[in-house]
Amino acid sequence: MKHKLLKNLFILLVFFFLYLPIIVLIIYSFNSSSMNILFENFTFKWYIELFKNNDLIMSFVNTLIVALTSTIISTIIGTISAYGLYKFDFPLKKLINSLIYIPIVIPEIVLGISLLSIYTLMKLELGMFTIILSHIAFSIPFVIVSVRSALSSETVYYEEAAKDLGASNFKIFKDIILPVIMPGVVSGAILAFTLSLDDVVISYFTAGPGSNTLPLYIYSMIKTGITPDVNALTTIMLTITFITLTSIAVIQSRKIRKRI
Amino acid sequence: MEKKVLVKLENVSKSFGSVEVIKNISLDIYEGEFLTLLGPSGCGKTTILRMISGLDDVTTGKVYIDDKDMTNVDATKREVNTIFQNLALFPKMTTKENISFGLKMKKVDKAEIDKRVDEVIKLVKLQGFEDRYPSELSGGQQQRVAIARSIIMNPKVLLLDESLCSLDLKLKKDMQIELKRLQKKLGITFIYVTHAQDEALSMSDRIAIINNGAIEQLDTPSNIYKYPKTLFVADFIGEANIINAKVLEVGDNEIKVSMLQDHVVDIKADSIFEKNQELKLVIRPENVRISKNELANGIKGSINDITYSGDSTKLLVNIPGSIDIKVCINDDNKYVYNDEVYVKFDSNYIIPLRK
Repeated sequence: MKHKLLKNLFILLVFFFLYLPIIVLIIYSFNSSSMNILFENFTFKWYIELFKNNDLIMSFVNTLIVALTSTIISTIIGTISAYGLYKFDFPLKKLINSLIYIPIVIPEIVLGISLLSIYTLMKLELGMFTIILSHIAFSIPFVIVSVRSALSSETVYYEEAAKDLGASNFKIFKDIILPVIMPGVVSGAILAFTLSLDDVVISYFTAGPGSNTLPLYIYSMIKTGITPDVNALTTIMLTITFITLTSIAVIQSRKIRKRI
Repeated sequence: MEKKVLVKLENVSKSFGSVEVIKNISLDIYEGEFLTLLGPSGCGKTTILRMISGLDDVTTGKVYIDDKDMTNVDATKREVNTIFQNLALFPKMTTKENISFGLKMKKVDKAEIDKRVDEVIKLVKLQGFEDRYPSELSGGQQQRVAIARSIIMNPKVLLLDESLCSLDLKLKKDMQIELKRLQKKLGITFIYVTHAQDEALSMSDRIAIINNGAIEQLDTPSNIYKYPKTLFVADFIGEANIINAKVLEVGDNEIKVSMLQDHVVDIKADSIFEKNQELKLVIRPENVRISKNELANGIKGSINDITYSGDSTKLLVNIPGSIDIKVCINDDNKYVYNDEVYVKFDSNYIIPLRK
């Protein structure tokens, strides 16, 4: 009994530690005081204020554009690359396989500087385009790794069976392989999306005028002080994320139940 | 009526890198027959199958299916289907989707597909399981989906790659009967790959024994069992006593040999042996006569081991100063450990083989 009590207490503490900052943030988004120190009165004013703050809204929209485009493109490229690296044999395959991990382990700041110097060298004007390009670049390895984990030796058998039944390579990929590796593709895409959503370092180096993203905007506020409308925005973002994830989970569990 | 050759392998070899796994095989497979490629694992039998289906290329030689040269034709275009060892049912498709996949790829129209799927589902007795996923089916049901998925294509040849290996004994026996029934009903040529000799013997019209990438012997099951042509075949198919012997005299259709320490027997011999030649004699355990009473020209020994297996009992008779002789009898309880017995070989059942 005592053992079980300790176990539950431990779990409680872990969750407390993980979620306390978020709870505080949500509470303070309803705080009438403009300082994030004392809670005065309950108010919706920051939510109203939020929609008046054009810079904040713009940066949020930018962030969404960057995250969505880079996620879609990097997921497509990453999935095809993972499949190609898995299916075909070619010289230097082993080397390329290990090179994939380098962008993952390399410090972001190094990646940021190198991307900046390449854009300068190519005389690319810094802006949304360069941010998206950079986000695609650092997301691809994550997608590849995630998709690759979903490709097992079983996949070869499915492929051969489909070939035996007369399926073209495109059909094999679309009808057989893609459904099998879908969990890997989805988790790769989610990973890419969240990485892009909160990236500060690489965006900092590759952003230009008018292409401020939300993380950059918040980061720049540190000098002047963070206003509670940011709290309000993050609360909205949290709510959206929460609803999306819960509905995905509900849909999936319904699907499973339907099969049984 | 002359039998039509449906699949013809002509001097086919296959190498993976520098390793030659198939060594110059030629094989004719007739229309409507059940041919089994039997051999130990790693002998190349699956590779032969994959070269017929087109999933592997031949290194040299030709593959003909229905008189057409298919050597360089892609697997997708061959009228041949395979039931894979691991079945390879598409996990994200239901029974119905799995079965109709091949016809969809052929762009057969929907009404026709539905009709044929219904027929095939009835044929393999999968009614009521149409909308289940492979993970929700039992081993036997999965097996039937795999069979249905292939036979719906009306292939000229159905290739089965160790397809029953993963099933338990009871299910395996049921599926054997079911496969045989389907084969007779559909008249499709079956090429079956297995390392299980009991499956090969019970199901096939002909068996090709494969060893080290070459065909050791190709014949009907009973001929292969009764008249093995090589030591490998004798040893691989069924149980066998393999005894060293030496030719004493050569006569017409008969030779006199000495074995088991100067025991002399006359045996029929088709092939030509020379005097003083060393040879091996193959005797099936069920063809060894055994008795507690002295047998004329019998060899004395003692029971060394008794293995009861329901329908028969296997005895191991120790001949002093020689090898143990395997004997198979139908009645049990007759012998106990260390009993003194006499064994005798009927000269009609002794198969002489060159060393």
